[in-house]
Amino acid sequence: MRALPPLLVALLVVLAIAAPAASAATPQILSDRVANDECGACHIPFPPNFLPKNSWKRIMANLDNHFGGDASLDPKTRDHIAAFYARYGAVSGDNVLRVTETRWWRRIHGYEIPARVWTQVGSKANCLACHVVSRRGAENE
Amino acid sequence: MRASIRLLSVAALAAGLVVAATPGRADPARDAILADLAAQAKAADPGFTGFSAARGETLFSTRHTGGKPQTPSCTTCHTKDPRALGKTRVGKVIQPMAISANPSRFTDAHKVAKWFRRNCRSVLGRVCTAREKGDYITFMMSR
Repeated sequence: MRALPPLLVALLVVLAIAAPAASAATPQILSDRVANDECGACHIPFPPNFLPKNSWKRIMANLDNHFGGDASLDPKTRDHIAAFYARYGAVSGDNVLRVTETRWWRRIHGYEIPARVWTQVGSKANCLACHVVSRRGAENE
Repeated sequence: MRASIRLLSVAALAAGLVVAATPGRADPARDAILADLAAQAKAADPGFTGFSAARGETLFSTRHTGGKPQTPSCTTCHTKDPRALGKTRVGKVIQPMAISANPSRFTDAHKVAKWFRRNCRSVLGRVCTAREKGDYITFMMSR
C-alpha cells in the first residue's frame, strides 16, 4: 500500500481534531457485547488482533493495575472477556502490553505526526481524537 | 386578567422553589442503594446519623495521596463541576455525575459497586466506606 503524503495525513489529523467532540456512547466495534461495553467504558474497545494472545492474557490477569488505573471486574465478567481475547487475539506479535508499543502501531504513527498533536489529544490511546470508528472497525478514516 | 397573571407568577415561583429544593430526581432504585449503604454505615458506626452532601463534596474535590499518581482526585476525570461532562485519561467522554444533569446515575447497584471499587482504589488507594459512598451519592443528588 502506498503511504499517504505527510501533508495529507497532517490535514486529516487537523480536520479530525477540529471536529466536534465524539459522542459519549460506546462505539460498537467488537462482536462481543460484554467486552465491547466493559472495555469501551474507558477507552475504545481494542480489537483482539491488535495484540498477541499472550499480551491479552497478561492484561486480563492484572486488571486491578491497568496502566495506572483500577479496571477490576467481577470474576465472571473478567473470565468472559479473557476468553474472547484468548480466542481472537493475534497468534504472534510483539510481547508488549501497550498497543502503542507494538511495531505495527509505531510504524503507522511514529514518523510524521508532530509531538504537539499528541499533547493536544492528551494520550496516544485517545484513538478517537483522529480516527473515525464505524461498526466495521476502527480503521475507516 | 391582572389577578390571573399574579396567580400564574405565584405558581411559577412555587414551582421554581420546588425545583430548587429537589435538584435530584427521586428514584426508587437509588433510594434502595442509599438505604443499603445507610444500614452498612450504621452497622459500622452506631453513632451514624445520616449522609452528608458537604462531606461528599469534600471527598469529591480533595486531592488525595495514597492512590495512583495518575488519579489524585475524583475531579481528575469528572472535572470540578459534577454537572459537566468528564473525560477518562485516554479522552473518552464521561457523562455527568450530578443527578440533575444525569438522572440515571446511581440507579444500578452492580454498576455503583463496580465503579466505587475501582475508583476508590485508584484515587484513595483503598475501598471506600459505606458512609463515604452514601455521602458521595448524597452530594451528587444535591447538584
